[in-house]
Amino acid sequence: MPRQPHTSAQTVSLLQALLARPDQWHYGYELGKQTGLRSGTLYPILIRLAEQHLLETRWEPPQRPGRPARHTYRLTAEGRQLARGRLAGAGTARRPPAARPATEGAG
Amino acid sequence: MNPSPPARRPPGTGPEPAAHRRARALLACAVGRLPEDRREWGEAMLAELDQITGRVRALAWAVGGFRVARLERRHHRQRQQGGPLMAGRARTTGWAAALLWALWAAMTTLLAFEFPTLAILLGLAGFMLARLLRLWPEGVAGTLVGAGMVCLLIGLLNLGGGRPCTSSTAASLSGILAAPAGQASSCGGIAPLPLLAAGSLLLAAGALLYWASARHAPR
Repeated sequence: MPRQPHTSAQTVSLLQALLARPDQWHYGYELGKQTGLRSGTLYPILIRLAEQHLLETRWEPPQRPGRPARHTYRLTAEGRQLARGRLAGAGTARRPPAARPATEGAG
Repeated sequence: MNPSPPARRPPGTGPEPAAHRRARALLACAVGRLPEDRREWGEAMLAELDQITGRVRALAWAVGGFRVARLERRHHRQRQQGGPLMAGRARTTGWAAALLWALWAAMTTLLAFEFPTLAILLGLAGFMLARLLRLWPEGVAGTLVGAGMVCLLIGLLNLGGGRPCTSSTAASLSGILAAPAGQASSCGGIAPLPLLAAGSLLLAAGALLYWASARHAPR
């Protein structure tokens, strides 16, 4: 039987980080720091989630002139539902990641 | 999604550290290897580089870009081929399929004439060839299943029919070739049990290989 998608430890960890503040937009680097995932692991998961309409993405205008626009992410309603299911399945629903100062919330 | 490539560092913000410049050049190289419809994600990674402090972290971030590029190129190929595995390519590579067919026949013949070592060596060579030709995993799984089924068929046909040749007469290919024609044809056939066991083993190995590769195929 094929493996259920989005159940790897890395994906669950990312879903957990995104679900901790579901209304905020998250930056890639901050997500990497929160989950401990390297860019080479983080971005393929983000791409797959966005491809399946589980993740919204948007470019945030630069906060200072000359700085690059940044790509930000948050779960869609469908993504949140899936994340809750996966976290419950992984038994981590009661252990959200430690709250950080809201520096990465972009909107 | 609204693509908006990141802006370049403007004059007046100070020179970028050399390590970051190198990391940026490296990551830009990786981004260039991304499929067209994934370039935006590469730009996203480049934009994040500005936030990273420390040259080791910046370098690690940039190196990760190559993994993203490799995975996305593979994903892109798979989408074009319409399947998660290598089936699309295998279907379009007629000569490679013929080669595997020949390998399958040779392996079975060697097993049938009780040359297991040669059969295993041939199997390993085929395994490496299939990987080289990117016919992995279906090519190898198919070869194992095919060889297994022929072994089972030969074993079943010899089950209860005739008596096995003795080692002194024609139990092997060299024995058959060396023996007089009458003697070779009169001894009852091939011992079925080793063939049935080898066939079952090959069939199970092929099925297991396909199952495992389908289970671990990227999705």
